[in-house]
Amino acid sequence: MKFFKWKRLLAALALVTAIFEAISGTTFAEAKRIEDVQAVITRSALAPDERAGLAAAAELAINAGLPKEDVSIIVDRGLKRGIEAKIIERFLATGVAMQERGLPTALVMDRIEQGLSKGAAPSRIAVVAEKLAEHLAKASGVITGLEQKGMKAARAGEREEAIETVAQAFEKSISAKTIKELGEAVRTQKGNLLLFSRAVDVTTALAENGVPAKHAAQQVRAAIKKGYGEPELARMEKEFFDAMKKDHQVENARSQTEHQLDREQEREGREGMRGERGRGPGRMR
Amino acid sequence: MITESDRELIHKVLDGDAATEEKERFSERLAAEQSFKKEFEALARAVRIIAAGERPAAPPLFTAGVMKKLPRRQASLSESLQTFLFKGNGIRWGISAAATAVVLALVALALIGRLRTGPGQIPAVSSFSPQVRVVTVEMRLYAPEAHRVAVAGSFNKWDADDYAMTKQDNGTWTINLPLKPGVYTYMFIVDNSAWVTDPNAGSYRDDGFGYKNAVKRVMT
Repeated sequence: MKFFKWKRLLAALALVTAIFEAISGTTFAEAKRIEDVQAVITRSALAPDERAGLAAAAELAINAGLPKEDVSIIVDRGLKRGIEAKIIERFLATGVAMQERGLPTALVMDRIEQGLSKGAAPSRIAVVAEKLAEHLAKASGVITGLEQKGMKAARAGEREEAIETVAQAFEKSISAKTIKELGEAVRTQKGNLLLFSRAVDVTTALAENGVPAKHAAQQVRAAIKKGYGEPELARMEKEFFDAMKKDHQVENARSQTEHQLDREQEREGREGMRGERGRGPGRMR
Repeated sequence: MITESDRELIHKVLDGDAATEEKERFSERLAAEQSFKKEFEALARAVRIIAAGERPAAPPLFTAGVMKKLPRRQASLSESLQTFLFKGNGIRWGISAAATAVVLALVALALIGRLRTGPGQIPAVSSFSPQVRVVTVEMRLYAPEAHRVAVAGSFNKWDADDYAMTKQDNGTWTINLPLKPGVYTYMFIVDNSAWVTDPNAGSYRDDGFGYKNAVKRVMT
């Protein structure tokens, strides 16, 4: 066969392969990753029935839409730590349940990977992950409520980020009522879901470090009403922690933060700082 | 008697290639030698017959057929490449071929777009923001007694073996990480065993396992 005919044949084959891959809904890389997970399971010291169960759970998780990398990491780390196959399956099942309900899975996957890496007890990892999944489901309801009142996402991914941020607030026992009040403050200022996420995030950060949740939320609401955007909220959080490092007194840090930012606002002579509210980086893990 | 040089002389005369002295010699021989004259007349008659005859046209593929049978010269790699890149290859399109190609291209584009997001997944912000730039972030931990320090966090799936840090002369361990704008949690791992919170972080989060993660906000 002539040289140029070979080239055309190869080009045609490559095109057909690319279309076939797109149509089949999986890439060779993804198929290889599923094989890698299966290879890890096959090489493990599990009993045959455990291997079969875990392999089936891993394949189900990947086919359900969980990121293959996360499934691979969870199975691999779990097996290396000698965790029972049933517990690893439980980790994956949490992710699958969330995926099937249309909830974001990244935070739960991150938490499981973190727990496995840090050597946390397997049962504790499972409980933390399942509790977080419940919080995410509840957070989704809150976000839906805000969206129904007109709060919008400016970009793809903001809704998922908002759900995860609210779920983390619920982990710190910040009430749904407090979150909704924050949402109302942002909505009144015509802020979007990204600004709302930041507001909840800063509230959670303050609450985690000793500020009573109600006071933390009050401070953030006041900041939002003054027109603080995402950069200002981030600075407010940093100021608080800097003050905490110097003073170690929560209340002093909190009021110092408030006064410092008020002075800064007056100095800059801006009312509202409405220039670029809601702009900012992505999700928290 | 006819010699070889006689025949050569006759051919030259018939071809019109004879020099003057050759023509003279031809005339002498023609007059002197009967066999020479007979030979000349026979050849002249043959030339007349050929010149007067029909010249049939070669069949259409005669030349191509002959060329095909000739041994082909192997093109060098540079010649082949040049031909492939710069010479037109002349693809012939019919309406149906063009329509099929367009339909296949549209199907491929649509399915590749679906493939990027995956079934049931929401695309990440970065996949829609080609202008999102990567920021280099320095992580530091003062640990002069440590033999190895690494950093793990939400940016690398909490892989404790991934990002080993470098020890500086003053006992501080450092690493520069390229991170997209976002919010990340992380911890340091000292000597492959101790998970250590960054004392200089901007803020912190409980991880639910008894540790405090540092929080790093990477702004645009």
